[in-house]
Amino acid sequence: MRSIEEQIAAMQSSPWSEFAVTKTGARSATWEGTISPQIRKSYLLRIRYSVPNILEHFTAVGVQPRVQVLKPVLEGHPDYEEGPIPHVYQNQEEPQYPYLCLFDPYEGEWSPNDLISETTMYWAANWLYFYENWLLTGKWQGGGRHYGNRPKSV
Amino acid sequence: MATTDYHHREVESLLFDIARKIQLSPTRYDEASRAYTALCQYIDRPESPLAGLVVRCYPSGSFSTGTVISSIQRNESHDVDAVIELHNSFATVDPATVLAKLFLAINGSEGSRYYGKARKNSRCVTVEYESGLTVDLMPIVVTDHAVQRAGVLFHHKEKEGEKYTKPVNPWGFKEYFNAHTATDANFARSFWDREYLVDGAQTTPMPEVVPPSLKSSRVVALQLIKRFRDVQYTTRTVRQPPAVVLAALSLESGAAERSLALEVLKIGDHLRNTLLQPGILRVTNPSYPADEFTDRWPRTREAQMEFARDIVFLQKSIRSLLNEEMNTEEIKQKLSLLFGEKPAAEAIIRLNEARSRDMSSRTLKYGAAGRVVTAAGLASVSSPARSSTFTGGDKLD
Repeated sequence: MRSIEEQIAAMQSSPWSEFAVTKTGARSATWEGTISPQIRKSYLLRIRYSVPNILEHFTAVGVQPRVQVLKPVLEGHPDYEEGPIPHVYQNQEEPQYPYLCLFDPYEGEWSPNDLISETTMYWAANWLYFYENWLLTGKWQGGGRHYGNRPKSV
Repeated sequence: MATTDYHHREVESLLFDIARKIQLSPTRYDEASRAYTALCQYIDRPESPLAGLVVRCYPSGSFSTGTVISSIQRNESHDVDAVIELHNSFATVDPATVLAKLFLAINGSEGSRYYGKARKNSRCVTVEYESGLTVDLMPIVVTDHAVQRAGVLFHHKEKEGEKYTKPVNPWGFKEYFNAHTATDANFARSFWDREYLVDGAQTTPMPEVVPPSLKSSRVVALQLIKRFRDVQYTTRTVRQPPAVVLAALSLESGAAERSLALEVLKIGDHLRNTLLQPGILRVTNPSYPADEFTDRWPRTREAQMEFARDIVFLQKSIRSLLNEEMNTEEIKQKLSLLFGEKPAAEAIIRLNEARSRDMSSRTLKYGAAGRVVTAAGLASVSSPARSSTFTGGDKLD
């Protein structure tokens, strides 16, 4: 399992080094920065991550980095494919800032052994690229899948 | 692969998808074939005023040269041009009478098949179908027996007091055009490599619809220019440059480029330079110079310059697509202005399909700030450790 120090260090030495750490805790960090998947299109993101306590039971769904788009606020289009907003987790506290769902937690696509800088950040850029084009065409072309009431255990 | 190669390839793909979208579907082509065949047979029926006087009926215009595209105005339908070659006894008949007789042969009496669907124009009779298809039937008589199928058409515009015959040889132009735009196997191969397939081909008395994959870059570039012309003239009330003028000038553009984008630019160069020459443009049938293609357009220098400005705009837009980095919204806007909303939207969807495949296979790279690398430099790029599958839809714990 990667420590928060390893995650922070990896981000600082990665192509995502522009992302600033805005908050840290004993086992947590929050980053904010801009992703620009296409020229003249950029998004302010916040990524929050807490390293799980190794003694606790955890799931990939539960411990995944929480990625939110702060600016511009994501547009909802219920009439578009995968609308109102494709592949996000609802955020009850701040509905306008849902969490991006960037990997399949049931297929082991991410775990706390992975570096955010090598996975989450790229997947967020992918998601934003396809989100831009979803706004343009009404079609979600980034692929993905949906689950019903599958158990959330890893 | 160099960045410029990658970017040029994407622009080529966009133009191919535009070209694909403006092709006539096999269904529409089949409809055109049946309509054309039925009309030709009907005009020569025993009760027709032209019974026994029709020498032959053959397609002309875009169908005969393999350059037909769907119409932007009429539900993406299309026009079929056909020649009705009449017995040489009509050579001395008044043009008004010839056109009236053809109209009567088609329109017939009340209750007959095409009654109310035919319209007499200044040089042809047009039949309109509910689907949006129109068939223009132009009567001609062969008068120049030194040249295969060369003759005269009949022009009559009562309101303007115009009445004359004019030398024409659409058959000759079709033969000439097709001889100078043979299928380019290399172009076909590069098209198929992109896996852009067009469905179907029909074998009928009309020319086959040759999928763009089998045509030359010249022919497909000409189709794009025609579509561009249609888009620009959609809101104008003036006559647009005839397709046959564009086709004839395209043949003068020198050797065809392998690249579709460069071929559009090359034909554009020749069009622009020709339009900018002093005086009023004059273009004749290369197979029969007595047949002037520009007798009705341009009538004024301003009409000519308007299209010259259009061509400059087309070239500038293609060059900016090739040379400037743009996001997909900007690309779509540019393509919409050139070729219309629907083909542009289709091209963007296909572009994203390709990028989605590249992302899944991790062949797409990322520049600074997560920039999807196309025209950006390859100097500093990276890629994820692995790809992922978007899911979601619930709430997080």
